[in-house]
Order: sequence, then structure tokens, then C-alpha cells
Amino acid sequence: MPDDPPKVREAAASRDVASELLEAMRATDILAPPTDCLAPITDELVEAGLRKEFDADFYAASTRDAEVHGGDPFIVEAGIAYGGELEEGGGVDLLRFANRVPLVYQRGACATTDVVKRIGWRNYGLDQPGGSGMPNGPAVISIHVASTNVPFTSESKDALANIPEIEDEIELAVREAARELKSFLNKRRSMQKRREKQDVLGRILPEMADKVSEVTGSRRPNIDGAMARIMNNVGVERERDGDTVRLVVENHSDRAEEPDVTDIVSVEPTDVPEAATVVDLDGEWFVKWTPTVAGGETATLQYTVAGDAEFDVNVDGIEAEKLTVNA
Amino acid sequence: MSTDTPESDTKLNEAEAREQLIDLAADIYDQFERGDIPEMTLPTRTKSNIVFDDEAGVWVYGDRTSTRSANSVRGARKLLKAAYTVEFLANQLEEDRSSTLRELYYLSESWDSDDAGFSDQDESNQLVEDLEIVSGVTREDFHMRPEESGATLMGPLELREQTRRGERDIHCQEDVGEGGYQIPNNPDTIEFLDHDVDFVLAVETGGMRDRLVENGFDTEYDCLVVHLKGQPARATRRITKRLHDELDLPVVVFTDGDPWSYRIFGSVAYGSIKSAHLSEYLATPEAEYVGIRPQDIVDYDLPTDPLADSDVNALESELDDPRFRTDFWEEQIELQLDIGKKAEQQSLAAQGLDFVTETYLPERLREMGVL
Repeated sequence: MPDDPPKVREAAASRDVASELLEAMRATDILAPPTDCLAPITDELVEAGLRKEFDADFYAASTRDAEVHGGDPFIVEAGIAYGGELEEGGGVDLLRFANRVPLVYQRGACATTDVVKRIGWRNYGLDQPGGSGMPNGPAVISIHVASTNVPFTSESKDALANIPEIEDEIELAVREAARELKSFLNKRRSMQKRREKQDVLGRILPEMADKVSEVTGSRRPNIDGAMARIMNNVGVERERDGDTVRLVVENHSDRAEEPDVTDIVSVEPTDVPEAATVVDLDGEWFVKWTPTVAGGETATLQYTVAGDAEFDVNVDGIEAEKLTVNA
Repeated sequence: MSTDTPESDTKLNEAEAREQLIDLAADIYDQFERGDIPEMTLPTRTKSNIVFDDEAGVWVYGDRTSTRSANSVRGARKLLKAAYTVEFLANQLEEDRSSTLRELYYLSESWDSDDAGFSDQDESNQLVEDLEIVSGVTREDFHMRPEESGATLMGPLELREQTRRGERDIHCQEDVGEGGYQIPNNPDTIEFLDHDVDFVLAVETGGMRDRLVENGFDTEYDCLVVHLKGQPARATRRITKRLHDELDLPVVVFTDGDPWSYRIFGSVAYGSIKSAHLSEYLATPEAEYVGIRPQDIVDYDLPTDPLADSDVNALESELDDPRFRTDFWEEQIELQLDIGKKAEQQSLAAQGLDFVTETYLPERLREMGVL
């Protein structure tokens, strides 16, 4: 193909030239039409809308960049709400919007419905009988298409037509939100497993300790260390030696953790190291400390209080399941 | 923890066995105290982890180990069960009582922890074997009995058994019925007094044992017929080993001609995979295989059954089994795979009821140099 554009008669005379020309036009980056004429809801507001309407455990939303179909720019946005008060049984609800207007009728004829049915939802942690069709579960999916020319199937403006470019964008937008759902569900599942394991081991290990102490005729062994290790836990412990107070953070997991430790003390603490800050609030002193503890390491905060002090430690920044506070 | 196998001549007394058990519990205790996750390390009990002990001539566990750790729910349950079982066994030894493996399984139902109960008897049997391995004490010294296997002896042997009702002197031909002398669960309570035995013939099936006894094979050739009753119980293997070691008798094994029977021979001669920790105490490496050999199927034109798929798999897995890696077995197993047939001991009856005692066994035993 020469670099010069072909003459019209050349293109008309040869099918091959015409087909190459068409391909070249497709491959060429052509300046996108202006998109400031579009009125997307934005992902924040899609999510806010879901939060307002549904009491769920999890929300996610996504906004795609503008694309073009047949010369008209369009933007697709999607949102997912999951769990909470949403109904467990049956298929998920699909909310469809075109240019911020809800589409109520002819759900089955709509491109959005087709796309949602096409996605393999089992990959994202939702039930999907047969591996295709509407997924089941306590979820709501909302899809918004904003365009200067929304392609409806009919004059009644009930359903979006199956335009491949729009369908592709819908799919990408929904998958983007669904990926977040998947990681939420995976995390929840692993937390649940961990909780179950904790429940069972929390029952078995003390029994084991009792039994071996019975058999050996010794007092009950201290199983806290073994427990914390098993749970891959982060343990926060207090040691007191006269006026010296030590808060020890033991990280038994294999990842670094950054707990926000707040120790509320009834007597003014002294000799507090620089790593921690002390705030006096009406006769209570808040010792704030945020150590970074690598996997398998421990960190210690040491300060001094005189006499009878009362302590109340509060640890944030670590999931409750992973945390054992003994202080 | 030691995984030493006990020497056959050293019999641990109850106090020592009890101490070994309590040491196991103390080990878990110490691990708790150190802040470690309690665990128990055992040799891996699979075909791929048995090695030949040149000195003893038997197969024992290799170096590969697996760990039961309380880090998982499964492992923690196992250890909890172990702790309860240790307590039960220690109490049992203290009170000088005994129980059967099945009783242990049912007894676990009464333990105050739901997690400590056994889900089936295989599990409790396995745990007792685990405890044997880690404590180096045999099940018999824990006072755990299996169900009576009913294996018997018949032949010119006089022995003294230590029974709960005192000592009994028994001649295994004159003082017993047609059924023979029943081997007790702990054959170490037997003392051999006198014998006219020339060799020990271990027989797999009851039908063949009865045929040999009916035809007077034991009196004619002065042989001691041991009825293995399928895969032999420990007591049967132990007494076979003792007959060989203490009375210096050759041991030959007579089974069906199929892959399962070769395993019976394997466990008599080389030790079983499940109890390889006790091979030194149970296996008789000098034992020889009489038949039915695949070669016999060809030579005597015996009535046969075709090999089932499971038989073929079993034969192929025996070719991988280190215990069967000898020229004799490789040749026989490959021949059998080739002809695709198996035969029972009783198939010899196709040539007449007396064929086995008058022709087959005398010929074969002469060939093997036993007669």
C-alpha cells in the first residue's frame, strides 16, 4: 500500500483496496468527538445512589471513559450493591438508566440485560445456575448509559438496542465493579474461614491443654503463645514492671501490620518515647502510637506511670478477626 | 521423639510403657509452654517411604516424615484425640487392665469432648499405631488387643501359655481339637517346650488348612501348619517369627495365586507397610514362597479365573513395591500379567483331593530344599 491516499476510482475498482482502506480507517486514531456534551452520573454518585436506596454490606461503582458509536459519544457507568438487607433468594435486581432516566419496561429486550446474562458471574462469587443467565444472590446491579443519541429499540424508549460498541463498554463497566465485589467476597469468605478455625481451635486447644496437664499432673500450660501463632494473629500485650509499662505488639502473620494503638491512661504517663504522642483530655491521657511491625516481628512501647493507673487500650487498623488484645 | 522399634527380646514392662506415654503428653505440654504450636512428627506411612534395613533384612520406614500440627483444625483434632487416648492408655496400664481396639473406639464416645471422639474404627486403630511409633512401645504393651483373629497352629509342638487362669501346657496335636491351637493375642506369653517340627507351613485359606490336616500332612512330614486366615494378624506374624528365630525352623508360605495373596506373603516375610515400625519384631525375612505361583498355573494346567482390572492394578503396584523388587517376583508377576489368570489353592483339587499333599507340596518343598 503506497503512503499516498488512493484515488476514489482505485478504491472503487478493487475490492482489496477498498477493504484495506476500511481497515486503515478503523485502525487510525481519530479525534474523539467532544464528550462535555454528555451527562454522566459519575461513579461516586452511582455509589451514593445505591447507598441511599439499599442497605447493603458492600457497594462498588465504575465509570468508563467516553467511547463512540456511529459518531455519537457515550459513557457507560455501572454500580453493584451486595448483601445486608438485600433479599437473599432469587435473581439479582437490574436497574437500567439512559441519560439519567430509569428504564422500567421491556427489561428482557434491553442490551444491558443481555450483557449481564453473558457475564460468567461465578468468577465473581455470585451464584449463576448453569453458568449463564441472570445471577442469583442478594445484589443489585445498576447500569447507566449516557449518550447524545441513545440507541433505543423503539420509539417508546424502553430498552437499549444491541450495539456492539455499547455492549462492550457495558460489559467492561460491570466487570470493573464486579471485580471489587469479588475481592470483597473472597475476603469475607477467608475471614469467615478464619473465624470458624478460631472457633474450633479455640475450643480444642484448651481441651488439649487440660488433658495433657491432667496426664502429666502439672498445672495448666499457658497456651496464649500457641494460639496467637496459630491464628496468624497480631497480639497486643501489656507488661507492667513497677512503674514501667510496656505495650508489646507481636505480629504473627507474614505481612507487615500498622496498628493504631491508643492507650487511655488515668495517670499522666512520663518518659513517653517520640514515636508516640500524648494528649491530655480532662484527666485522661491518650497515648497514641502507630508502629509498623513486619511479619514475625514485635514492637514495644515503653513509658512510665506512677502509682495506681488504670489502662484502656484500643487498637484500630487491624481486622477484628486477626487481633488479640490482652492488655 | 524416638521411633526406635523395640527389640524382640526386651519386653517393656507396664511402668515403662506408661512412662513413655506420659512423655508424649509432656512433650505437648512443653510445646505449649514454649509458646510453640504443638505438633507430632511421624514417619510417612506409604509405600514410597519404606526402605530395606540391610542389617535386619526387613523393610522399615524411611526418612520422610509428616507432621501433625495443631495449626489446622484436622491436626488439632488428631492431637486432641491422641491426648485423650494417652490418658486412657495410661490409666489402663495403671489399673493393669486391657481392652480391645474396638472398645477404644466405642469408649471415645464417652469422652467429654465432642472433638475427641473417633469417627470410625480405622481412625482409632491408626492413632494407636501412631502412638506405638512415637513412643516406641508396642500395642501389646499398651494392653490393647485386636479382635481375636482366630488364626491357629497344628503340628508336633508343645508349648506353655501364660493364661489369665494360670499356665497351660499344650501339645498342638494331641491336646487340641480338629481346629488346632488358637494363637493368643500376645504370643510373647508363650514358651516353647518341645517339638518335632521340621518346618513351618503357613497357609492362607481355611479350606486348604483343613485339607492338609485331614490328609495328615502335619504328622507325615512333621510340619507345623499355621493358618494365616487371610492377611495375617500381628500375633500370627509374631509367632511365626518366634518359631523361626527360637526353634530355628524354616518357614514357607502357601497362598492363592493372586496379587492379594502375594501381599500376604509380603507381610509375613518383609513386614507390612502399615506396621513397618515393627518389622524387626514381626517379619520373617527368611520365609519362602511355596505357591500358587503363576508358573504352576502353566505347569499344572490349573483351573483359573481371569484377572480383574483391580487384580491387574494390584500386580502393577506390586511391581513398584520395593518389597517385591526381586528377580523371582518380577518374573512371576510379569508372567501372571502375561497369561492374565489367577488360581486358588483349592484349584489343585482338579487333579484329585490328595494331589496337594502327595504330589504338589512334596515336590515343591524338595525343590526348595525344605524336605
